[in-house]
Amino acid sequence: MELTLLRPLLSGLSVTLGLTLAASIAACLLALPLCMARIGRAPFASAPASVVIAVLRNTPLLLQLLFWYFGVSQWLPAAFRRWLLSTDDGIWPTYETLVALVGLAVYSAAFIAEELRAGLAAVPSGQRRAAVALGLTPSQIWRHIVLPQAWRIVRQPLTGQWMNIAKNSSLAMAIGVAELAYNTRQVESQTFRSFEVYAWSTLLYVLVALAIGGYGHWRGRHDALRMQVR
Amino acid sequence: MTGNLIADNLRYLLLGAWPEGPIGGAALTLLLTVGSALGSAVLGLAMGIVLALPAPAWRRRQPGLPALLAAALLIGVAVAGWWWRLASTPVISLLALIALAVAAAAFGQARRLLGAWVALLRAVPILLLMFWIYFLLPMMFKVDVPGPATVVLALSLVGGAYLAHAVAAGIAALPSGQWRAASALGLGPAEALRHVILPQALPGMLPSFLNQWLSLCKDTSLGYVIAVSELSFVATQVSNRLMVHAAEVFGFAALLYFVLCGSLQLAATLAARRWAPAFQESAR
Repeated sequence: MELTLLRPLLSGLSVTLGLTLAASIAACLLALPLCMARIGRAPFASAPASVVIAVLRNTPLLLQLLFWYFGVSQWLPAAFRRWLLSTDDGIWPTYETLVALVGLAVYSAAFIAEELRAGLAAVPSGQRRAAVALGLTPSQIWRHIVLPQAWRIVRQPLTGQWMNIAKNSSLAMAIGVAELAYNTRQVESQTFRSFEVYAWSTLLYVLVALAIGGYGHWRGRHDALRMQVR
Repeated sequence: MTGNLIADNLRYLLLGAWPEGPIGGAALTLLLTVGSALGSAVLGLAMGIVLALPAPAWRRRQPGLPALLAAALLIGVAVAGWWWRLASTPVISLLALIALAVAAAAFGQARRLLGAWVALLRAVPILLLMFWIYFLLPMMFKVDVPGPATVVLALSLVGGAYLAHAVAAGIAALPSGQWRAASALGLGPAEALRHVILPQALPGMLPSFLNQWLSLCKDTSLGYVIAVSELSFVATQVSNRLMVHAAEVFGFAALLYFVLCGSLQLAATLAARRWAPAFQESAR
C-alpha cells in the first residue's frame, strides 16, 4: 500500500538528485569563465559578463525556464529539434530534462560566479604582492597562490548554492519534468491521500537539504581547522 | 514587428484583465511582492528577535507547570483521537505537533524549536510550501485559500525564515556590552531592545532585507504553478495566443522583472554603502 505511494516519489527523487548533481557541476564549470570575464581588465569581456550576470540574477528562474523551453527551442533548426524530441527512450534524459538542466545551470552559474568573485576578493592583496616579490609569474601567482586560497574560502558557501539548486530543481515541474514536486502532485491527484503524500515529499526534500547542509557544515569546520593550523 | 506584438498586448501584460476582471500581470506581481515583503519583514523581525535574545531570558530552572499540563492534555487528546479514530490523520498529527511545541515551551526550549522551524522552512522548496497551503489547508480545515493569498503567505513564511537569521545576526553583531549597559540603566529586555539595540542594529540589516525582497519578487513567479495570473502566467497566456513569438514575449516579461528587481538591487547596494560605515562605527 505504502509502495504505490512511495515508488513514484522515489523515482521523482532520483530525477531531482540527478538534475541537481548535473546542474551543480555544469553551473560551476560555466561560472569560472563568467567570473574571470567579469573581473578581467578587458572591457569587451567584463561589460557583457556583468550584464549577463545582472540579467540572470534579477529575473525569475521560472521565466528563464519558460524562455528556454518555449522561446529558444523555436530558434533551433527543425531537424535538430526533432532529433532531441525523439530521444525519449527512458534511458537518455528527455527533452524537458535537458532544457531544465540548461536553465538551472545557467541561472545558478550567475550566482556562483558572484560567489567566486567574493572569494577571490577575500584573498589578502599582500599575498599577491608577496608572490610578485618572490618573482612568480602572473600565471604562477594564479595557480599556486590566489586560486588555492580562494577555493578554500569559497568551498563552503558553494554548498549553499547546491542547496539552492536542489530546491530550485522543483521549478522544472512547470515545463513537465517528472521530478519530485511533479510526481508529488501526480500521486496526490491519483490517490487523494494528500497529507501523507505531501508529508513524504517534504521529508525527502528535507533529507536532501540535510545531506547537503551537513556536508557544508563538515566542510566549513574542516577548513576552519586547517586554516588555524597554518 | 516585435514592437507591435508587445504594444498590442502591453495592457494585458501590465494589468491583466483589469478593470473588467481581477487585476493581473506586472501590477499583480508588484502587489504580491509588496504583500510578501511586509509579511516577511514582520515575521523575520519577530523570529529574529526571539532567536537573538540573550540566553538568560529563556533559561528556566523548572518546567512551566501550566504549559506542561496543557501539553499532556493535547497529547492525550491526540492519542485518544488516533485510538478511537475520532478525527482524521492530518488533524491528529497537527494536534501532536502543537503539543510538542507547548511541551518545548514548558521546558524552556522554545528557541530551539523556533530554530528548527526556521531551518525546516529554509530546507523545503517554496513550491512545496505553496502546495501545502493551496491544496492541503482547504482539505484539512475546509477553508478556501485563494491563489494570491497562498503566494503571499508562502513567501512571507519563507522570507521571514531567511530574514530571521539576518535579524538575529544583526543583533548578535552588536557588542554584548550594549545589553549590559542597558540593563545597568534599569531597562528591561523589551525596553533595551526598543531603545538601545534595534535602533543600532536595524540600519545594518537593511541590505539583507532589500536582497530578500528582491528574491521574493522573483519568487512571486511561482504563482504560475497554481494559476495566479501574475506576470509569468500572463506572459505564457500571451505567448500561447501568439503561438510563434515566445522568445519575444518572455524576453519582454523578463525586462519588466529586471526593472523591478534591478531597482531593489540598486537600493540594496546604496543602502549597504550608506549604512555599513555607520554600523561598524556604532559596533565598535
